[in-house]
Amino acid sequence: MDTGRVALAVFRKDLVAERRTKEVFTAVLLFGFTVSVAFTFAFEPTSAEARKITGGLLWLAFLFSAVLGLNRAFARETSNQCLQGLRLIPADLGGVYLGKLASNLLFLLLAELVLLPPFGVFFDLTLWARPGWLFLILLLGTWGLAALGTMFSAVSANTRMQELMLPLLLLPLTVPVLIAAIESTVILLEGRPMSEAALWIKLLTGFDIVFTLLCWLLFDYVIQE
Amino acid sequence: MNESARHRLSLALLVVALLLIVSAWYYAFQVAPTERTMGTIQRIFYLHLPAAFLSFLAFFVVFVGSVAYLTTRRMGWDWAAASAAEVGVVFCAAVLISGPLWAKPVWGIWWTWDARLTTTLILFLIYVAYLMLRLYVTDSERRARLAAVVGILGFVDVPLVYMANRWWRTQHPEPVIAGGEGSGLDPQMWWGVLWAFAGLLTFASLLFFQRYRMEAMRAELTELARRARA
Amino acid sequence: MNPAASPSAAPSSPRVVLRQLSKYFDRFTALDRLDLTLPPGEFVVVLGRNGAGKTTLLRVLALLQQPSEGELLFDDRPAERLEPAFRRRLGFVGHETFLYDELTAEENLLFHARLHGLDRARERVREVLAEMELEPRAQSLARTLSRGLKQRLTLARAWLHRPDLLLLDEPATGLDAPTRERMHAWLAGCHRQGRSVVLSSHDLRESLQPATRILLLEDGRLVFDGPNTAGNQETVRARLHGGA
Repeated sequence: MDTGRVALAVFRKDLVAERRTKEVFTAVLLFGFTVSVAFTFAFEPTSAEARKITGGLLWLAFLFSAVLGLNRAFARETSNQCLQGLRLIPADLGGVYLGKLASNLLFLLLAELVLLPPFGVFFDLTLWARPGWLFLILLLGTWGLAALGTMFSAVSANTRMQELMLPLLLLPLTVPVLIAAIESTVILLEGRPMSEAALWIKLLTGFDIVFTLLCWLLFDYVIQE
Repeated sequence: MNESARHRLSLALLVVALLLIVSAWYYAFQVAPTERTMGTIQRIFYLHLPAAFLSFLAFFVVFVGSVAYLTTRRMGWDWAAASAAEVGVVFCAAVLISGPLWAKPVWGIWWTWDARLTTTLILFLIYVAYLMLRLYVTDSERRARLAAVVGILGFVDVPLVYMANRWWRTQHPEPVIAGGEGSGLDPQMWWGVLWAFAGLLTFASLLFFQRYRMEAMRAELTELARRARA
Repeated sequence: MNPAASPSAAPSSPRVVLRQLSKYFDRFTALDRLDLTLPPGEFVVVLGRNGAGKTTLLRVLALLQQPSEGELLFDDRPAERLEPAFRRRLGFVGHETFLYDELTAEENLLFHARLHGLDRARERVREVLAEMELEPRAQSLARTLSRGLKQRLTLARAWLHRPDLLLLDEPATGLDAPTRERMHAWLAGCHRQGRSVVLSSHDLRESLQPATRILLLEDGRLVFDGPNTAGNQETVRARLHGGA
């Protein structure tokens, strides 16, 4: 299938480029780390109260660094007009979106996983009690951010204020992801049964599927001339 | 429709809108009964609710215009989407201002994070992002295309934003501005709401058509300028 | 540099027709009601000053830009109704290289080969690298290549899928004379195999030798269209340098 072939080719290409330069991963990791440190000054990370906000702080750190990472990732495509070059291929371009979504998701997830231990140290959290659930929430939440983020970085690349447009578009539209991810993470950190998070997990999954499909369909319109 | 006919229609709409709004105002303050617990400030509800509904309606028009533009590539749909977005953002602002004005005297706090008000805030931010996107793209065809994509994504997002906020609210309850989901409304109050809605809708339509006409004229000007240079 | 012959049947280049084709960018008219018929197997050189519309014309032909008005037909089929697979028959070299800086020459080509769904992608990439004499630099990162090498790599990218119609927008800019000559010789070779070539230039020092047709664009309008004869070359030369 054309789309699969294109998506796989784009994904592999992004892997090669990232393995060589490590730009996106480093940017997300360093920025996320800096933001986490800044949070420790702003919020007293002690007592049970902290559990509630650290879930939120974690996802804020992820969100801000994701914006940085997505911008960086897309910058590769705009130099030398590479993205326009992709329009020459004898296939429709939805596959390009899926490939870039997959690579963005991978790099963001890796950076987040590396960010978790220091974050846990700063805020005195036991993160690894239920690693399976933690990973699931991380995956679904980051997928939501990456799905719209990949799309909007393509949109922003076409505007005069590239760096501003991405967060301006991404933040309001990913509010459902943030709320769901934060609530699930708080439930996880507070040691409550994960059945309480069922609704949030469903919302995240629904969001991810709906927007991945929609962005896949609409991507072509964004990179036409 | 020629210029003078259009002018007369606009004027007529304006007059109708003003009449409806003024009479709705009168109704809201003189005729409608005073709310039992909240007192006079509750009358702002007659602006708050219709404005909220109109802003959602406007966003729906943005959605329709966006889909129609991508399928037909006729610029008129883009003009409609742009005009609806501007009208919508104005009414969103009205909701976001009237909300705190209501909340403060009644509950002592400026903002309550109830699902509907929060969704309106997010809707406002999405509109603003949409309008800023339009501002920062210079080529008209590209602007129409990109805005259409964002218009579609934004609209699909709104129910999800609302659901997320609703469920969050059930976990962290706090006062709800418009009396919650289940509360009923005195029939006399309903009349006030409908009347106000009619007035605001007429006014919104007027704004919409004026703005649409402005986009059409701008396109005409671009076409003429292009012909002149060739 | 010699283009390898197609292993399969001779290439069949498409017949291209433009009818009252215009392209606007808000107030600017880039192409103004062009009427043009290119039979298969032509080698066309499009001349014109900067801003005359050469780039826009080539991008429209490459299906990268949609016309604002008028028709574009390939083998009597309207461009907007062509299936994506048709792009296999087109090869485009533009102002931008479309190369990924952090990828090697080979990796860049391999990427495009995979995108095109070419069988035995690695082999094909090695073939093209050999044809373009890029083998010694195959493992170099694209950003370390000189302008001339980058251009050869871009050409390689366009040639990977053996297109029937080659579209090149000022490919000789920034190249030294020997490289330019080799490129022209290579294009002549492609043409001899039956492919169509459309090449734009603002510089008349270019050898017009292999061309079968000359076009001159001025402010988006086609002001000259004729076979490549000495007389026509003179006419065009005069117009280009003298001004209308």
